[in-house]
Parts: sequence; C-alpha cells; structure tokens
Amino acid sequence: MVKRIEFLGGTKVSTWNIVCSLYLERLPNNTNQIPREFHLITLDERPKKCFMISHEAIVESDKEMISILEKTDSFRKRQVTEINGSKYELGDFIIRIGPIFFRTETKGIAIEVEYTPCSKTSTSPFSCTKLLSEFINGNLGPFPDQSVVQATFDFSAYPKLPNNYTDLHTSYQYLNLFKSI
Amino acid sequence: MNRHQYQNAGSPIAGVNSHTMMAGGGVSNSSNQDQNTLNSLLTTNIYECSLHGILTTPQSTFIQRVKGMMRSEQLVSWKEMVYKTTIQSAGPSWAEGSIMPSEIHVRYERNNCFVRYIGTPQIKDNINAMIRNVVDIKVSDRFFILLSNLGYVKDYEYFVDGYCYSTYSLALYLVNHRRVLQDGTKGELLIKNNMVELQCLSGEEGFMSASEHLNTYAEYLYPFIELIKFDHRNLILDPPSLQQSQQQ
Repeated sequence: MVKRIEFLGGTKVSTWNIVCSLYLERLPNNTNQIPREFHLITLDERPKKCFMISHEAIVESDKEMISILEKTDSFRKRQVTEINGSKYELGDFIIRIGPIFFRTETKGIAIEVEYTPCSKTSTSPFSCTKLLSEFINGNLGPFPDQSVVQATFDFSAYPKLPNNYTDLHTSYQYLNLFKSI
Repeated sequence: MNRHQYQNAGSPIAGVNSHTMMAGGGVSNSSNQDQNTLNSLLTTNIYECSLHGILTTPQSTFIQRVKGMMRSEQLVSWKEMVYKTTIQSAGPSWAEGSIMPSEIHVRYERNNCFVRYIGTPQIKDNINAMIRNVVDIKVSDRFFILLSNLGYVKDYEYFVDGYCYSTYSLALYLVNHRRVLQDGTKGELLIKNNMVELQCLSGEEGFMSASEHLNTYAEYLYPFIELIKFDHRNLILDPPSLQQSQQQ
C-alpha cells in the first residue's frame, strides 16, 4: 500500500501516531462493583491536547490531565491501542497509514484519507464523501469488503458534540474504530 | 487562586482545521524537541507557595501600596466549583489530621473553562509559606459532565471577584467571595472583608527561596495587612465529625 502511495507521487511528510488508552477506576480488592471507565486519546498532531471520552461525554483538555490522573491515583491505565504509521501528501489529499497495535498484536492497518480543500468549519466533512470514496477505491483499493471503508459516520448518537466538525468528532471516530477491531 | 499560572499553562483550545472521511486531524507538525519538552513538563511537579491574609485596613491605601510594588493590575472574575472524589484510592487525597483534601477545581472565567488539581498541603515547618502541588489545565466547557462520570461530585461553589497584581515572579490577589444562588447567579458576600493571597510558583528544590521571596514582599505590605502561612493542621475535624467520617 505504501509503495502504491509513493508510486502515485505521495511524499512522506511526517510520522502518524495515535494512542487510545482505556482507564479503569481503581476499586478496592474483593468488590463486585463494575469499575467506571473512560478512554483517553492522544493525537500526535495535537501534541499538547488529549481527548477524554466517557459514555456520551467527550472533552478536550491539556495533556497535563494525565498528570492529574496519576496524582489522584483514582484511575489506572489498562489497555493501550496504538497506531504508529506515516503521513503522506498527495496533491490535495493527505493519506495517513499505519498498523494498529493492541498489546503486542497487530490488529490491522488503518488508512485515513483527508481532502484538504474541504477544511472550512461551515462545510460538512461528508459533503465530499463521493470524491473520497472514489479516491480510496480507485487508488488504494479495490477493497473486496466495502464495509471496511467508512465513508460516513453518524454523530447523532452523540448529541453533546458541537455543531461544527472538531477534533472531538475525530476522536469519536477513532474510538469506534478501535472498539470495532 | 492562580491566574498567573493559568496564563502560562493554558493555550487556546484548537479550532477546526480539517475534515476527513474516516477521521480527521489538524495540520500542525510537532518536532521531537517539542515532544520532549512537553514530556518533561508533564513529569515536573509544580508547587504553589502562598501566604494569606484578610484586609481590614482601607482598601484604597492598600491598593496604592500594591500598585507601587507590582507591575500590572488586572480585574479578575470567575466562578469556581470544587469537586471531591468518591473513589476510594490509595492516593494522597487527604492531608494527615486535617480536613483539607486534594481537590479538583473547575473554574469558568471569560467563557473559558480551566481545571486545577490542588494537592494536599506539604508539612514543612521550617518554611514559612503554604506549599501545595498544583496542575493547571485548560479544558472544554463540558468537563464537569466527564468529572461526574468519573465519580467526582460537586462539593461547593462560589464566585470570585477582585484584582490580580503581578510581577515577573509572583502574584497578589485581592478578592472577595460570593455565594452562588440556586439559579446560578451571584449572591451575597461570604465575608465582608477582602481576602489577600500572595503566591508564586516553585519547583521541588525552590521552596526556601520562594518562601523568602514571598515573605520579603509580605514585610513591605505589613503596615496594611498581615500575610501569614495558613497552617492546614489547624483545620482538624472535631471528634464527633471524625467518628462520623470514619463510619462512612
């Protein structure tokens, strides 16, 4: 896949790293309670920020939130899912590609295609769904199982998200991707 | 009580930069150096050293004195909500023999939301300043929902209004506290006099020099206000309350 991107003229511009950590509440021993949990996502393109997701609540915070969690000692990191890949620029497109690691296993390859002209806050990211689908299937595919290509995403299950597309939306998509594998 | 630190620690929450199909991110690049600096900041403990007092002399003369000593004056106004955890952790959530726990403060100021972790006060009898570990972060405005999901409950809340005077290294807050009414608006003053807090930040090695610095300033202000180290051990639960809390 990387060779194909490079053959098309894609140039590697940086690394791509996403970490999704599951934190569980520290409960006393011999208790039957179900621990509270939340996910913490860090994106290497937002080095000073992290995104915390618990049920339908998602918030953006400075990365020092991790330090607060350590100091309060109330939650403990349990599982880490990580993408360690590369970012390529190909004309108006940015392609991010990398393996998904869960513990020591590789769970799959994640590919993200971004169409940079569609970057105004007023436009919906899904207004260029067709264009991106063609790009993905024509240049990176074909994919026998079309369900792996996620061309749309229903955010209606998360009413607390802001109206404009933000990194919070992105984080939700990554969390759902990691949960699905 | 630390806008000085917030200004250093907080950065504006990023806006929307791009849209993607599967997932999208920003377009900024980070260097390894930035990452290393950030990691070192995450592992560095920052402590707030402070002295406290209540202003009983005329405010105008005190302000004149403070203006002569500090560089800048700023109006401050915010709503602060204090959350306590319901999670039984092994962490240092309570100061020994005191009713001062470590707390998470959520502050709404000028449509921004900040969160501050304040650790239990350090017991350092040879240092004449109150020392608490602090972590300041900027968060999005729905952070309190997440806190509730994580098992934190709101303990109390209040409004703070006043002035912040600052120099390069320290800040003085002259503020009053107001009750929060049921509809969320400002109520009456909690105490009639203004409270003064003189504070600076320090690393783990600098408590002594920070304390000396604070006390030097406090001496200049002595004719108007006595700024003292607030000893948290004076806040001890009375025996019936202590028994109750132990039973719970």
